[in-house]
Amino acid sequence: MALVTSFGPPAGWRDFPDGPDGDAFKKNWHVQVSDLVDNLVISGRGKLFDPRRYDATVVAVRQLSWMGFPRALHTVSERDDRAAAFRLAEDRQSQAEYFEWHTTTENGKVTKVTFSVETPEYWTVLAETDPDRLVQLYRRLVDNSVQRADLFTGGVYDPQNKWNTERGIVHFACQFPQNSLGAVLGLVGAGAGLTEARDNLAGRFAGETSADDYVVLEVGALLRKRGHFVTVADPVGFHIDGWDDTGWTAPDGSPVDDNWRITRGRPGAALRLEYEVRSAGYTVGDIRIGGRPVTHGGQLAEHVSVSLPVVVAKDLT
Amino acid sequence: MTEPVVEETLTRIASAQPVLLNGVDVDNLGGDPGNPGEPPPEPVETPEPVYDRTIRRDIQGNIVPGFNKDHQHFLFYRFRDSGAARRWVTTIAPMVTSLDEVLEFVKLHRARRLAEGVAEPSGLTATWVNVAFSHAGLARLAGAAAVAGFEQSFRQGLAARSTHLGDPTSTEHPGHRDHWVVGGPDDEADALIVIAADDGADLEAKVAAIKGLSGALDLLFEQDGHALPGALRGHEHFGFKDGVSQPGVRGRLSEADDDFLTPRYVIPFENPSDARTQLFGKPGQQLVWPGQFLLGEPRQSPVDLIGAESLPERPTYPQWARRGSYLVCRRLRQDVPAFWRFAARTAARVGTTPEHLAAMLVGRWPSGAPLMRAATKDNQRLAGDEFANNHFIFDDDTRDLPLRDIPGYAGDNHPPADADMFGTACPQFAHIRKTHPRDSVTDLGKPHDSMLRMILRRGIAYGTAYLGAAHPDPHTDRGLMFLCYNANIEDQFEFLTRRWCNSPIQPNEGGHDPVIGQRDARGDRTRVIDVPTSDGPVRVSLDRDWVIPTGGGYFFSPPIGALTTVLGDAAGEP
Repeated sequence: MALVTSFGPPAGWRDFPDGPDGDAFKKNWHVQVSDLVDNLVISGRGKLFDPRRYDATVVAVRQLSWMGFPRALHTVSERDDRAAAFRLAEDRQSQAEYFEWHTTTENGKVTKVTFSVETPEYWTVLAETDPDRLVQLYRRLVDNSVQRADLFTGGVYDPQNKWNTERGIVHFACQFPQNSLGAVLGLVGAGAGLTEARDNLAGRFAGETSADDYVVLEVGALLRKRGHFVTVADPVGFHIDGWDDTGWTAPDGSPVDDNWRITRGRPGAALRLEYEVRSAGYTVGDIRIGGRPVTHGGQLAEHVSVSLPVVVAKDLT
Repeated sequence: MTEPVVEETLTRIASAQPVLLNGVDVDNLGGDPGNPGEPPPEPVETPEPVYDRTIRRDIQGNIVPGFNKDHQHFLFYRFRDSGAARRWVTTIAPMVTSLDEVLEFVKLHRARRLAEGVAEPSGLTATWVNVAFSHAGLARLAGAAAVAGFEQSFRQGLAARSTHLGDPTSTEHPGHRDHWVVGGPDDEADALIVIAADDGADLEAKVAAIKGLSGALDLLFEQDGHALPGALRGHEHFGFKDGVSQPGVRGRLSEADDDFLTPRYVIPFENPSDARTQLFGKPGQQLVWPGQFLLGEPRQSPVDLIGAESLPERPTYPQWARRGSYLVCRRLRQDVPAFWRFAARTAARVGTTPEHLAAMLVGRWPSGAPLMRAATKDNQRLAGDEFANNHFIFDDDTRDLPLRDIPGYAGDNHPPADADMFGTACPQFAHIRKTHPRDSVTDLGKPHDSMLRMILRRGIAYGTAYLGAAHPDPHTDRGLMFLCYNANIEDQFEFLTRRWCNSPIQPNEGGHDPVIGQRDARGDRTRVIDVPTSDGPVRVSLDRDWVIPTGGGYFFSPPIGALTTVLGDAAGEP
């Protein structure tokens, strides 16, 4: 029996109850992911395999995991000016690590930061399957005043709609480079092309983002191992797999409460994560991280990591 | 200590001796690097800077190449009066030892050590002094305007950054900053003097002399540090050889072909398409641009493994501070019995020996031999071969590097390091893998990015040894005076500590660094490691802290000339 018979929704999250709508969505999502995997396997030079066609012995499920804050700002262009990096990173088009966030402020003070690793592909399938449900979810996640017309242009779902960009966040919006499932699977395919390199020191591969580096180099290194094959893990998708708030202090100097809330996904595989102080009499902007006041959401993003699980296998049959 | 198996292990470690290289002649290496017939090398875009004698005399010697003395003493001073403090700086300035002086000694020491096959050549001794200041200390000496341009973590200081590093948040915990012997809130030193000597009596004399000159200052705290006795020389208190792997600092001493600050034993450019030959000084020793440790110098590129980055348009430090370095000092108490009890109990649980389990925690055997090349048992010959004991990568098979002809050196004939991508030989949590991922990809990106995080470690043990003692007192205050130099505390020391050592999933998933990693989530200090076994990884919780912060500070080690021109009384009132 093949490793995968049907690709499930990211992190096993269910936006549809059991029933005809749910069945339709499951089918549509499987078709969407299958199309992407078809492209990947075709470009994968042999050692990437199609989990719908092969059974295999799983050696490991490898978490490809990287920093959510954009490396291009953190390490390259704003290496000497962390304040500038945080300021520039508030632009969603800078959030190129397959991890985006929206910062909510009141009177200039940060009150909430919402992180997402959801893909435009998922939400496009959802929109095509059940537009009304799409509107309901947007209202629940972003704002009650969302209208259907806000989300569609010429009858087609617009991932760049205002409720997913300047007014809030539901899924990825960064376009150059594009944050999407298709784009990251392209990186997996690129990694399969690195098997002729002897190791990561001899080669000269240098990506722009941490995600580029991690996915390409790690897949390349995995596939260099004799008898090893790689494929995507089901469910296919990104996870927020960790965050670290040690050293974050409330106005009185005590450690902050656990203000993280997973609103989609599950621990270890969060899809949507919110940080908001709910009952302590102060707000996010009053928190200090390592003694420094929070003025931008990126200061939190620096302490969050995102992952993409892949399957390493051998003995394909 | 109650477990006989542990006592037996520690007794063995305390007496084991590495087999040192002998009869190796590095004294006359120089000139042509030894690849006749090859086309001339393509120079890298930025030539390595030349540090002539004038410059070498301006850089403090514990930064590069490092004192590395068996006996050291640390004096933590608080200024009473700015004028008196400036006069004091002027007084001690001539005593401060430069890179030039230390380097001359080190070259001679190294040549004799390898030729004679001894750890310490006889009759070769020196006593050295370096000085560093906190941000508040510098402000008192030079005025607030002169020190405004330093980086933020340094300006904040170690106490303010303590919990960010994972230090305990509960005041009940002995490691909380309120309990530190020095460097806690309202107890931060303005100046740190480092005195180092080969001979204990020489050290005492120099310490006394400096104290005699420092009457106008308050001595907050002082700490002796000494190499552990006998076969444990150069080891830390848990019993492991310390400081085996250090970055090699790029830079030339002159325009001559092969006159480098860090000797080049790997033949550069032998294969221009193989970046490794331009990356290593000796096998395993990555060459790093000096700006990672000295302010204002060419620094490591984030996009090129071997290249330098052009300097930023806006300096990130006061101009007078060029070629100075940030000094991080952490006084870390070590609970030796707790470490080994954990090793023994976990070893029994996963079916291995305490020594092997402890080696997995560190990534090396007590001798310093790396698990990557000695997976199942210690190897004293490998440990003693400095051209081999650091030559390994993690994710792929480690290939040979072309070495110059080194008279007397038989070559690296030790077992090679095979790929260990899944951490079965050297676990992902191993201290040396967490802090120095080498070729591995990390949460930040490619190996280039990891090179931006490297530090120069200059630590020494303090307190009497537990290992090797007939009746050791388990409660004695013993540990490591951890010192490191870097050009950006936040991006180097703090990054390594917080982002990698303190994380179970970074730089790669597999657990916290069980040696120095910390975690404090609202008082919860639980840390875990995924111990590799033949049946797959076994998750184990660390049952307590065995490395406890007890003091320290963030300091800046200025260029020697600035002691007179900016910080001393010749500079006048700020």
